[in-house]
Amino acid sequence: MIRYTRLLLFLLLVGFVATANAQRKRPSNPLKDFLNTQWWLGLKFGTNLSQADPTQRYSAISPINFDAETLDKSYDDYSLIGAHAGIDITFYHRGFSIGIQPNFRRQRFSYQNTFTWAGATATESFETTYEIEQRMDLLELPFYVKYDITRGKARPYVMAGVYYAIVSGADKKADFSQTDFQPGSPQIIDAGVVSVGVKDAFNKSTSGFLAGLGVSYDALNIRTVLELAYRQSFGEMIKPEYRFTETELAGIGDTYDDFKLKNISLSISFLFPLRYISSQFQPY
Amino acid sequence: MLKILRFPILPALFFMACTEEESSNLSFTRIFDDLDFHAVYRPVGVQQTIDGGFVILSGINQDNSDYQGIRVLKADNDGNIQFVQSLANTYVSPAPGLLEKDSMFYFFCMLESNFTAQIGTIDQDGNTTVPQPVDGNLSFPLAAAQDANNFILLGYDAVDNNSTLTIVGEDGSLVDGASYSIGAGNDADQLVLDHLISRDKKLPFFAGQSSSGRYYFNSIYNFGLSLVFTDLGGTPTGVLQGQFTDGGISSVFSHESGTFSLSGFQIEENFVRNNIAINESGIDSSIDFLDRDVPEIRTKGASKIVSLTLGNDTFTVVAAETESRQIALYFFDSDSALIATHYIGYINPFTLSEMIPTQDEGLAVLGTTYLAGRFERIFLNKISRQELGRILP
Repeated sequence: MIRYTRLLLFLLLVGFVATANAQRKRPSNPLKDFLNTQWWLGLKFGTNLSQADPTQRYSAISPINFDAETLDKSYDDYSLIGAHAGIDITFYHRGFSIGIQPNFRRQRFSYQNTFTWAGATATESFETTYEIEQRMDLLELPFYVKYDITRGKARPYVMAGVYYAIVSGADKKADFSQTDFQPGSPQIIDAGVVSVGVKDAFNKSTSGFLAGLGVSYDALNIRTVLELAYRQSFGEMIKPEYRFTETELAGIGDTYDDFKLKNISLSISFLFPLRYISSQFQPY
Repeated sequence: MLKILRFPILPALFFMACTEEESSNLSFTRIFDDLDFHAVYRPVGVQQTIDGGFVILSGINQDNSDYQGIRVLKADNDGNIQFVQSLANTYVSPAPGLLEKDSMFYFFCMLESNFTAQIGTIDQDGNTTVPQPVDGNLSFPLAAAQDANNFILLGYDAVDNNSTLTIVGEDGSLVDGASYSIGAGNDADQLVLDHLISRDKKLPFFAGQSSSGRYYFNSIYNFGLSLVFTDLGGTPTGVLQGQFTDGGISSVFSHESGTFSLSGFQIEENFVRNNIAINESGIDSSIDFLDRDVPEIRTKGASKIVSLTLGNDTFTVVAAETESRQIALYFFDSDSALIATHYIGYINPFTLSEMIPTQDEGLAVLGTTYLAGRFERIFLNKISRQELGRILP
């Protein structure tokens, strides 16, 4: 994980050095050179989908006479929509951009687990299922490098970077249902919903990498950017010391797996240039 | 632009997030589940093993008997089951109290065919031996404890209608003992049988030795549930009388200072007292200790008391089942002040069986919970030293 971070930082360093060296060349055309460098500032917001990718399974239940793998949770893939909004600060030079995008993110994912008990006959059987919806609020600081594939009003680009995020809130909602296979037709029981705050279970901060592609379009002195990005945390999200502590949901056997958080974000940004030659000059 | 790279905050943040160290995980709540629709577990004792794991002695219901059979579980220091062993179904009703001596664990149970007391052993890995009869033809073992050298066994003599307190060697030999009448013409057979086979009719039978060296037991004596002090002579040295089975003491802890901590009940009122004196040489009434009702405690529910040492500080912890089907832990400091209350159990009901201090200055609480609200299973909650630090002010 640290190796990945160092590699990304190295790549960023190479990008900076290359850009810095390019700056030292004497400009042959002041107007053209002016157009090759720009600061952009604007707003960014969008929606996202998350998935927890378990790396180590845990359960508050320890089995006496059955296979522990039956206790594994079943995770949904990118099923719950989240949202994010923030500020986009970008420095552009000769096709390369670097930037930071401090933003607030709400990310959600879900999983289920089912337990069964059985006797000698089919009617001596009972099943309980809980569906968990996990919500996390993150204050994220991404740091990225972009490369514009073409130069024009519409500019497709690719980007990569790293992020650091503070977990500002987390809660989970458990929805219980039970099936009693009594004589006759099985009885399905709505066993209620429980919501609990779980911020303490999460590490205070997390980091990861991001990569994506997008397209920007310049019109009316506004750069509109549509971006699709993938994020993945480097490390685990959960504090080990909180995994099996007594919580509201420990009594049903629920506890967190070790997992890496994956996320796909679709964003739109509206950016404004910060350098002008005159009030009539349009930079692009 | 290169100046940005000299600005250390961003790289530092990324590395901080990547290298956050994992703390050791000491606390846990584990539930030991059994797929069997009919299985009902009633644990009666827990001890910590040398490897930091736990040995649990439990009753489990049997198909052809009203009495619970015996199952032993060994868990590691994270609460993962490592080994399970069941005894032959002729051995039933393990008495509360899993005892440790010279790295072996001992327990008492009874032979279903004649209700005689048996002594069994468990090693550090959870392996059991076939229980052997206790000398003296003792019957109906109800609770066990230990003194410096031997074991203390509380029983019931259904022939002569006596409560019996017996000092037993680790080989089952009879060291000493005495019998005390439950009351002329009184018959506690049904009370004892109900206690053994029904959760709702449990009585707080227990025994021990006070810091003065006297033995004590809580059982039926002189027509009521009484806390009886004795030097194992013909008559008790002191009695704290209850009111038949409607009032009495639920748990006692004898401090080295000579004082006691106790919990008890009177009809539907409940009390917890810490660091109080009990007259071991006179006759008093348990109702005298009812100074303030604790209405959240479930009357006649299980209760346990331990002394907990954290560094230089000593605390008394009283555990009690609550009306909300949780387990309340009341922490008292050395000045007898209640300084913290902690609850175990949410969503499904929780019941209490045992509480012990752990080797690492933590606390382990044993009991049952009802998975899906209906399947009674063992839970073990270890509260680490770190977590106790968060609970205590």
